[in-house]
Amino acid sequence: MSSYKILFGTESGNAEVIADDIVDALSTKGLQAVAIPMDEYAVDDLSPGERYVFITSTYGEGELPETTQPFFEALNGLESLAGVEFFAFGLGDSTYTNYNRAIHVLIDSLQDLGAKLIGTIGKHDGNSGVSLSSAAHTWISQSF
Amino acid sequence: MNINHDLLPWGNSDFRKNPYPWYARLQKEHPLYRENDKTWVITRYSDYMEFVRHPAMTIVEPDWVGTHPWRAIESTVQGTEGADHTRLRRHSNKWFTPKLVKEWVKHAAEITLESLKHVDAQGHLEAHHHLCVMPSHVTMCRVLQVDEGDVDRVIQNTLKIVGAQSPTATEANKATAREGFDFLFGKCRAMIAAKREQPGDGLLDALLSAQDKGELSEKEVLETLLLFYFSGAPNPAFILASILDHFTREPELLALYRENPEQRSAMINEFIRLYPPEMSFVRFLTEDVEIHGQLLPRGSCLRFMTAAVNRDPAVFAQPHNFNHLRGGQESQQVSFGVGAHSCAGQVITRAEVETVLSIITERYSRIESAGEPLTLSDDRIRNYLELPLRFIA
Repeated sequence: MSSYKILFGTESGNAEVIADDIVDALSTKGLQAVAIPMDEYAVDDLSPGERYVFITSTYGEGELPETTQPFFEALNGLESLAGVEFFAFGLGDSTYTNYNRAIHVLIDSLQDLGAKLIGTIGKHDGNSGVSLSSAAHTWISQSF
Repeated sequence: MNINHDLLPWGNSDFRKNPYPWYARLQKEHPLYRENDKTWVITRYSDYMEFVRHPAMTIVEPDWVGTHPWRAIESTVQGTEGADHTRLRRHSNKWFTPKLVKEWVKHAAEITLESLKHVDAQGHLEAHHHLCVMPSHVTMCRVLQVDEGDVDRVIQNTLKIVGAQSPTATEANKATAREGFDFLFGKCRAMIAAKREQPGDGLLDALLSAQDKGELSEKEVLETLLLFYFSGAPNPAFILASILDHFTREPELLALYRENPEQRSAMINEFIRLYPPEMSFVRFLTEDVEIHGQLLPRGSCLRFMTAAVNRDPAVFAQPHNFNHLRGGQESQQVSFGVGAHSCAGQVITRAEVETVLSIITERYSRIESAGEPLTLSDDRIRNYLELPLRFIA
């Protein structure tokens, strides 16, 4: 049975909503999944034996949110993530110039270390009028 | 000095009662209205969205603004920018995540059920105090883990301080506001002293812990406590009262809310568009900015007219009508602001409103007016004082 670690980085808790929705959706499919705050997960534990979903919002004018930043910085200390596969989901607001920049910054860093992005990048646009859970479920149905 | 007082007649009683005809004229004829030699007014949605997050826009007041009562909480998220603002905001953000808010609103549900015991045999209740103020005030007190009592005096003194934010605030309004701040600061200092004697694990405890670790100053903690303590009730209470009042005029909306739980969130969003508690706010320019061909010099004040923007016909079709099925941009009202300074309490406000309304509408199928509501509204802020209603099962 596949096991998923849903790692979320957030400023105001919206990424946690997406993470919990993904855990619930995967559980109903009989898949094991657990949501973990990104700043509570050691990058050294990233392993090819697990499957990951990285979720992060974008803060301010394209910056990483409070709990994504330390995880992102810790990635710089790794040599390789070869064999690690991950899905990705970003939260942003399309009225900002750097819409959803943070998830792309994180993806670039993971890919530079040899990790492989699976599927399409999920996105929630805070200016769309679409709820967080609705965006999450649309992406989940397409991705899993 | 008003350039043309007829266009934006602050203080006029008709304007205070229904400012929307004046807003519509400004939107159409004077999208950038020069109110006086320092202050400009923005009423169009497109201008609001373009300029409210402009990098030259700051909440920090330039020297020409001078002293006023609200400087008393300038060391909070409401008076800071940049790194200081982010630092202060992060200490409270984690207490109002959507996940935690689901826990907090259990308190609002408990208080609502308790309040409904006051409905008399004929179905009468003064709804503003019991169903609008109490659930939101007590919930915030429990988030902070502070004394829940003395509610009426807290609300009275909160109304005193907000009066000083009117564009036409007089010296008497400012003196009254200082009295209000003195009262609220006294309450907050006593809460901190009590916490030092008997710590807990609420938001105030977290703020004090951050102070002890050197992450927040004593002044920042006191002012942040005061900000959350007094702001817990008034805005959610106004939104709730506006909706209940609206239900008396359009009872079919109560039925819609009652019978369609999946539409409740969209309905609340639409009510919040129609009834923003705070009608406008100001920002200041850190550099020259051109708007509609006019160069506004550094230091100018820009007043963003939230209530006008929410009813801009260029975005919202039939803007004065309730229509919760508006989609896309039409669902993007700005009552909570946008960007870094958007309301930190918007998630809990929406959740409290939905919780209270759901309990009421699941118990009662109809709400009637039981007397003229008593309101206290000025040019910037809206409040109910009393909302006598009759609840019918």
